[in-house]
Amino acid sequence: MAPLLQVSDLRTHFTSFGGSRVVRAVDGVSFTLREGETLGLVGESGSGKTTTCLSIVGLLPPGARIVGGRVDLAGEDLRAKTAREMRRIRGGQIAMILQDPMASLNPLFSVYWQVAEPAYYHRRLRGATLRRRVQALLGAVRIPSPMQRMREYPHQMSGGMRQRIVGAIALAGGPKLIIADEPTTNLDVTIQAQYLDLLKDIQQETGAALLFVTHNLGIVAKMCDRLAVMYAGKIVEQGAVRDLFGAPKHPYTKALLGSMPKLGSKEPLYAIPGQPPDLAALPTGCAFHPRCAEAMARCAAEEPAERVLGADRTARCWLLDQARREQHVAGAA
Amino acid sequence: MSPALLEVQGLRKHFPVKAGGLFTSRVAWVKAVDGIDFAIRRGETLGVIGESGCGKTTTAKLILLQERPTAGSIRFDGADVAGLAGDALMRYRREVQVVFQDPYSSLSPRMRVGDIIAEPLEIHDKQLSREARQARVAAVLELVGLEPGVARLFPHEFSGGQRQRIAIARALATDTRLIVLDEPVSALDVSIRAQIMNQLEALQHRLGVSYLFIGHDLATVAHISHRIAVMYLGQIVELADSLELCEHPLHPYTQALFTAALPSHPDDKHERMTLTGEVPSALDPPSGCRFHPRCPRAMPICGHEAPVRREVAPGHAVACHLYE
Amino acid sequence: MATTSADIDPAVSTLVAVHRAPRLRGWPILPTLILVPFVILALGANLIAPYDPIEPIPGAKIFEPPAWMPGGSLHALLGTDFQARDVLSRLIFGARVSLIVGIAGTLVAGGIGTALGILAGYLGGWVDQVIMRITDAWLALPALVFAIFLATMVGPSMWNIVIILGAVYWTRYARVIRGEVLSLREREFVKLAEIAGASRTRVIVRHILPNVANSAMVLASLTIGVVIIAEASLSFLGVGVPAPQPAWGSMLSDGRSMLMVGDWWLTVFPGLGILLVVLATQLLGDWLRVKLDPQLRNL
Repeated sequence: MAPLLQVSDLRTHFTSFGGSRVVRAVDGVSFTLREGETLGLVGESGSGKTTTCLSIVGLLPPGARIVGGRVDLAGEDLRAKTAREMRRIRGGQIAMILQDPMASLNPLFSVYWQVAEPAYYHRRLRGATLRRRVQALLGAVRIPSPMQRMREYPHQMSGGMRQRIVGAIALAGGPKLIIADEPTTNLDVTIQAQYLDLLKDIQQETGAALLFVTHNLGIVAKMCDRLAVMYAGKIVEQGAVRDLFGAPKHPYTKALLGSMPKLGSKEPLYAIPGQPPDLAALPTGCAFHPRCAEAMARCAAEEPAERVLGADRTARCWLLDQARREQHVAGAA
Repeated sequence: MSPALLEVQGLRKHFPVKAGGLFTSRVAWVKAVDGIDFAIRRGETLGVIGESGCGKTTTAKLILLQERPTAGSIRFDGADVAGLAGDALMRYRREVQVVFQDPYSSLSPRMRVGDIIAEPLEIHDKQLSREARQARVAAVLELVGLEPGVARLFPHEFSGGQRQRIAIARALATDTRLIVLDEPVSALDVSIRAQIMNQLEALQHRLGVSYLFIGHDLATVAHISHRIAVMYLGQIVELADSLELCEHPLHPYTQALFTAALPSHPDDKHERMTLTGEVPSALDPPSGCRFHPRCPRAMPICGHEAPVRREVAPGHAVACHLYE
Repeated sequence: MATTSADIDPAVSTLVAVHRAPRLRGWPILPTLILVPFVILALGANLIAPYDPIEPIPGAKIFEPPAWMPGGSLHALLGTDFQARDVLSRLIFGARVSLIVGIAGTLVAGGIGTALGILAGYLGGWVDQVIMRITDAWLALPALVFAIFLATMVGPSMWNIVIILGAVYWTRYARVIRGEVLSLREREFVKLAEIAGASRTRVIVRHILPNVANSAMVLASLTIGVVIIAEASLSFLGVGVPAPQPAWGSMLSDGRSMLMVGDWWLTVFPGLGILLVVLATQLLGDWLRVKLDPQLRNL
């Protein structure tokens, strides 16, 4: 089955100070997403995960430009689209859920108008049909007494409920792809759990693909089928969630897994030394090598290329070459 | 058993709010903290978990004397903190410090790091000479894993994790005995959190300082705390050893929290205990047990009578009618 | 796809590029080009001005036009006024008056306003109420009229004018600084200092003051222009710097009637002086505002 979203060698650069400073925020990112699948895009601040999403929907801030690569949605090249065509795709085929619901919602408009808007523009619904759709959407995100809530305003609702409204707005246009960028960061533990369950249910009901951006591996463990780990603008490892959690191949993935506190265990945490990299001043060779417990001499000199390790499984690390060579040697002996 | 460093009993904080219409004005009370008891021993970490509106931030403010309690007592080293003034108050401020959540706004942007760390010394240990102060600053910087030379730099030259270290160093500058940590790692990158957590634990072993660790991520709080208090709507519903709480959560709210916690492995699936409704307002908390409207195991008595916290196993106390 | 910088009109993009070029942006060229000469003139007036500004040029006629016009001569480059005094010399000495009054007046206004703003913002309560009501009352008075009133009461002299203008214009500082202090007060580093036991004085001096300094400086550079114009207005109305001391405002007033008969040099040059200096300070203030705000700086 052809993938719904195919990102190939995407490169996005930020230029500032009149062109004298170039930051390679996204530096050769490739991944695919099939219908109904959930892909987790994991990384810390500065890894490029949010910029990747903005590049996909064409909403880069001033100073940022896609300088290479392809983004294909259902086979169509999104980079070749005009601004007008992209406007129709955004909200229609692709929806976004962002981190701060208060920032996503307009305080001046009622819930009804905000949820209705995508359905109005993308589905061309009007009048009673529109009202029924809004009611159905609010029901889909499990908001109690939707008829009453429709008339309310964002400030009258709690954080969890606002995030559901954002979810309803995202669904209103009937998207095939939902991009969620850390939607639960500001939510309480139990509210977060409810929201994630809701997202999963919606995904199963509508068959939409979900690109879930987060820094929290726990969310990935709960929600995602596949996972792509980003560091300094590149994907360092990707594959099925079970494979990466069970047998991670990249030292960064291993380190992230080791640094997560596990409930009920007092095992010491593995603290990754050093700081996340400054994208304007990346180290030579592999960007992770200064913090890598298994770094070799080669890692400081050359950037590792992306190696395919199996179906949908890739990783960028010189250790893999080493492992393969050892296998050859062992096999030849 | 070593005597408690900090002992809180029956602590309450009610905030007045004006309610009523245009012509009538009624004073209503937000019962942010409504009767909590706990103790922290020397060298121990007490974790506090709870969701928004549970009162954990207000509790921190009460301990830091940013707010005066409406009722109840806070005893530090046996002495009641409420009546403190003058020298005694300054002594308290010297020994109880805080580290806040946001590393980007907790350091004075126009002061050098060395001056920021030295400030508690300037306030409390006025007799120290400049050299002695600088030596102390260098010593605490090394304690938190930073070069002493960074004292002359400004905060904006540091990353979030490093700033938190500076904040911790500042909290340790005087002979601090208790540090209140309010979500100290929530705003940090995942890879840095473990660094800071390990650092905090190492400092505790080395200096014997106690922590009141407030957080919303269960795994993080459970990892660093010896004991954990679970708060709901201004009250402590359960208090137990960290591991014991993780293995045997007794109060239905605690159970809901734990089942809602994120798994650490994709195969780690457990039955979710779903709660109905939302957290009620602290203006008008439910009668009897405050949790009863949302509790999946509520009994008729729960609506009338508030449960008293009882120790049901050694070191494990819970306030729930199910266990009486 | 989204518009890229290449889609903008080339001429515009050049301007944008120049505006954004780091080296040029590092220093405000235009304000410096204007202000430095004026400051030099003001400081070295005694040495630079060709004649005594109060005395008539010996042997000159009244209302002589500037040198390049018919009837003008090189001994009075910008012409002479109704008492045969050299316009150029008066202009130079007038620069001194304008700049001194502008800067000193701003400092007085800034000093009073910042102090009151900090006290009102940080101490709150009745201190805040009292200061704010005074500010409101003060603001209700029209600035210039109030200044005129004060000037006629205390009598005109340059330093009196400085104090008067300082007393009139402090309110804008108080309001703005108070606002900043209100938000600063809630910032965590201030709370930290309070929890550590810092006295209020200490918090104000070490934490609040340095962080409002930026706003105060930006406000100051923007206020200089206003004060200079106010001084010029007062002089124009005859209650500013007293005659025969040269001030741009009084030069404007004196020369006004001759505009009808075409003796333009009496008003245009002092007018240009005011225009350029105020423009320069405003641009400087704007540059300062961007430079001191870390968020705007990186665009």
